[in-house]
Amino acid sequence: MAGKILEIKNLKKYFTLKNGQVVKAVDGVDLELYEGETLGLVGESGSGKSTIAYVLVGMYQATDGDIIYRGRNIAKTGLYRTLKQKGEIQIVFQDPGSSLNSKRTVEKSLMVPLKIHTKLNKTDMKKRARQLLEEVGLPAEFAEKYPRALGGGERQLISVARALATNPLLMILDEPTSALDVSVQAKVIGKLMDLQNQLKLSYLFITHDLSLMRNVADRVAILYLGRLCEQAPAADFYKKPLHPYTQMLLSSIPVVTAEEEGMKPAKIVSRGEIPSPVNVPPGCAFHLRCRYKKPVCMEKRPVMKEVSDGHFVCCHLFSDNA
Amino acid sequence: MKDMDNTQKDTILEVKDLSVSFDVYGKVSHVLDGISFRVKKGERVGLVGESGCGKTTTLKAVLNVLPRNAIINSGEVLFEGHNVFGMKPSRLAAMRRTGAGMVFQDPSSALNPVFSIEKQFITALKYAKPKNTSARELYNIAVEALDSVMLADPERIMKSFPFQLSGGMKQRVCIAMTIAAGRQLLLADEPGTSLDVTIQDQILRLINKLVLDNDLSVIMVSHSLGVIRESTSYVNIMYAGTVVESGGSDDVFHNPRHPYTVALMSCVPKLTGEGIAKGIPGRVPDYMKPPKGCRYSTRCPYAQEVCRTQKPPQQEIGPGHFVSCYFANEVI
Repeated sequence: MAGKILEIKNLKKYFTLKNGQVVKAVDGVDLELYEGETLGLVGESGSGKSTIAYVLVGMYQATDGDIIYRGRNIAKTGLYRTLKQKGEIQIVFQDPGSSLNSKRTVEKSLMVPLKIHTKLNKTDMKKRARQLLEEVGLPAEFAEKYPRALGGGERQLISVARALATNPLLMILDEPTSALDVSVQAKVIGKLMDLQNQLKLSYLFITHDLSLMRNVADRVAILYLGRLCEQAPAADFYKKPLHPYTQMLLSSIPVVTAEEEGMKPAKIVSRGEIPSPVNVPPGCAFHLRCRYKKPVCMEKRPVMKEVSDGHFVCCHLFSDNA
Repeated sequence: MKDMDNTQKDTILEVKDLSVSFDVYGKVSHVLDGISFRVKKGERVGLVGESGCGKTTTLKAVLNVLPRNAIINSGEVLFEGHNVFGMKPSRLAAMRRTGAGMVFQDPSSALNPVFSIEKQFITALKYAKPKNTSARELYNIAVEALDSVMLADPERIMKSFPFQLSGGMKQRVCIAMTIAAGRQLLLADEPGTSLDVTIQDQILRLINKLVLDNDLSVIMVSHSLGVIRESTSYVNIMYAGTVVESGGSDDVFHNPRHPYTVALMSCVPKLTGEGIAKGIPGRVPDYMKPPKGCRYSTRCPYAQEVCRTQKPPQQEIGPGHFVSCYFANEVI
């Protein structure tokens, strides 16, 4: 197996509100990412998936825990990282309409990272910008256009090109296609997968779309209220979801074919809503919505347990003392 | 003859050959091009297509709330047999108050943030109910409606302001406001899109239950094929202002025949993990200069000369399953 590029250990990120309340956005998450693989991070809104992304790129400092990136702990560095580390970890945001500067041409947007991370002169930078466009499958004429003249999918590919400008090793894709139509999403995903093969990139793919995840991820991790519930290789995960929350998520997905319908745990019906992360319920965070709730779930926080090869689940139903 | 009378009676809404364009600073954008469909009593009809295909414009035409620069080129929308474009203002207002109502995509912007739910709800009901209904009665109707959309503790919800409620709760309030007035037709414009999947599932199941319990009709609009498959019985697939394929939902999803539907289906990521197609080449046509023939002809791999010059007629390829394509029987 390829080496680990990233190891997250007991990562915590708390935010303190003005009134003194603490939002536990990420509350003890362990993850590993291997070179060249795609790890899918799935969760509903408010589950802390974007917070993890922002801590990884250094937009936030971790409250506690370690992020070991190629042998170095970068959890507490925030933005004070080496230029090399910043270049190697790049992010693509959800909405290309707001992550690209509308007053800059595509070329100018692509030249910003080049100015900071390379020693190229202006002509070479322009050449490189066009090369990047070609890499993501867009025509070179797009260099002179403004983002508003482009479609959503094309804009998102430009964000990808901008992230590629620094020759990254680890790309964090924060819902890169959830603002796009399916036919456009298919194009962008296809390109992302090609790029991963060509450039040997590792992806942390954040999304709320489990059916998309099935088609892109090697491994899947499910977040609920800042904690992981389940983590497994993709094929295994969809065949045999174990955590009650995961089953609820899967059964809620609207699907288009009868075969898919057969894969959903039909008996589990969605109920309740995700509680506020200001007041995380004691014990297992999911117990308020869980149909298998036992007294222990309200008192003790369950621990992650490996139930089969690489398939981890964090639930009292599977723990030894239950 | 008797049969025809029956279908007339069963139909709550009929859209006939509707074409709408927009005057954009002197240029004309031809958006809807010959949309026809019918909604029967108690039926759930879906409109599905990608952004900009005219789904919302169609809904707005049904309520006759198109913006001022809209031009209705042809066609009519018959609500309970009356054309909404020719209705007297008073009759039109009555239809909007008690006949057909919309549930919007984003419940946070559908509710007014500075008034309590009670204030908003009662105001809406006041116009929908007879003039002599007492305040107490209105309040009770509202509480009952909130209860029917499975909101716990409706009295507390009535006192709340929108910011105190979650997205799913707000959407339930919006649905309650629509049905409390006794409306027969619900126009649901992407009712779950802005919500999480587990909440979307709850909202869609709620709408289905209300429809069955109260014998309502729904036009469900969504860009998600999955949502439409699971929550409608009849579906219209739209592309660039035209209905390319329509039929029973099971039929269309099990056996898609229009090249666009086939291509779109292959782009949807599936739980079975068979991979995703590489998208549909090309772009949606420019509405200022739409193709003369089939609007999909610019992107269709099977397009022939005839597709580019002449609009394809609707063909019935199975019972109740219509496809607007010259080669519907040849495409798999």
